[in-house]
Amino acid sequence: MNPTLLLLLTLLVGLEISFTSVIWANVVIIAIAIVVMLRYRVHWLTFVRLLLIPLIPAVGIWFSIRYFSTAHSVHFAWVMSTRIYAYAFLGGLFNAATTTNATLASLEQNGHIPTTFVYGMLGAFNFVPKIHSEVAIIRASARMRGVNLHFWSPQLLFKAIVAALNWSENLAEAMTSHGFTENAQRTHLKVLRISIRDYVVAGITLVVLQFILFSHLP
Amino acid sequence: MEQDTHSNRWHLRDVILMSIVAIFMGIIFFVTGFLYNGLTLLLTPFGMAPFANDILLGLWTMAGPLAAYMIRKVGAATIGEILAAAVEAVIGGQWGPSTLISGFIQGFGSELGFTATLYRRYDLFSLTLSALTTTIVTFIWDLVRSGYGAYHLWLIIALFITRLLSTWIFGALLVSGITKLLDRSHLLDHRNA
Repeated sequence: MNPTLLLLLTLLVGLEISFTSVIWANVVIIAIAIVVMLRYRVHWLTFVRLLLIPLIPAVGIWFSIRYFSTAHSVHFAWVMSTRIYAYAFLGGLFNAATTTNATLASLEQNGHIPTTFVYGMLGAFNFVPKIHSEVAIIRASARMRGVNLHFWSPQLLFKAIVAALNWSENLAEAMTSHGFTENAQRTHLKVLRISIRDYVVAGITLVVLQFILFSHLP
Repeated sequence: MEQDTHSNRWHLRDVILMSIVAIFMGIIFFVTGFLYNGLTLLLTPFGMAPFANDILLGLWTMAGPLAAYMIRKVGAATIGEILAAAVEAVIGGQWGPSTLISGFIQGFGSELGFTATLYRRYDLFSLTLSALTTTIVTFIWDLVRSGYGAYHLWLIIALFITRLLSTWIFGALLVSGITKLLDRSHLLDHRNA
């Protein structure tokens, strides 16, 4: 499916289950996500991660709703726990179905996000490994002077921002000198379109979701 | 809308700067994920798990006020927080695209604080105001999304106060600490000239 449409669809589904409390809707979303992820042959470790990471917040909210909600509702406790899993699996589905680059490219062409944002973010993502090592360097050099920088130290973030200021100037100049013009009309080697099939699939998904949400299921 | 001193357009270097800062914070706060899970685990036996979210919320909402202070444009806090959320979703946050919804709501909340000063004040006062609006807006959202509305009133009030303290400590005090260092370094002067 086209990444922009998929993003909109997952956001809409996520929003709707935030405002309704139907356990079955959450369960069906999780099941569909698992089927889609199996089709994309997602590594089994991803499933383990998706099952384990939300476990703590899901159990935590179950107990607090059970004991401290005005109604002590077991039903609502399950709604909240499955909702947390539904969010996580919606994320898993999205990650399995597309890549960051494909999503950004589609957001530019189909979502009409300004190119400055799309290419600015693409450029910044290439710095991820450098940023990792920069954080390590800042902390190591502070430790050499006998200073321990914690994540709440203003100095740590200040030094990170100084590095970010330098890099962003350099990268922006480099991109401009390579011919990038802010928000100029661009031509595309690969033209992305949203197919009718995608619209149909998205439409059916939403209709089925409304059916589940509003047919008095638990 | 005042546009006398400089334009409100986002330039390439602003976008890259905020994205890189967001990645930095993402990596520094990667620990927060563990903190959150650890705290939740600790609080679950008492049924107090939601406090983990409210104690740490200030960390997640720091990108907004920081962006507002550094870029000083209308919409800077909102766009900065959305960028941070997008970065979090990309580098492997556990909530996927729904992070974007939270990012928008948190950013919009921070934005209101600066809107209230008509984007003229950038100091502890506007940061505090922004912490207050962030707390109110995100709390209304959590009344629905995280089921806070179902709790007893005393718990709702306790959660609200916890969240207000957290956003103030991280979003106002810590951000003001960072920006004081930035002001002393004069690195932002030519950008906001």
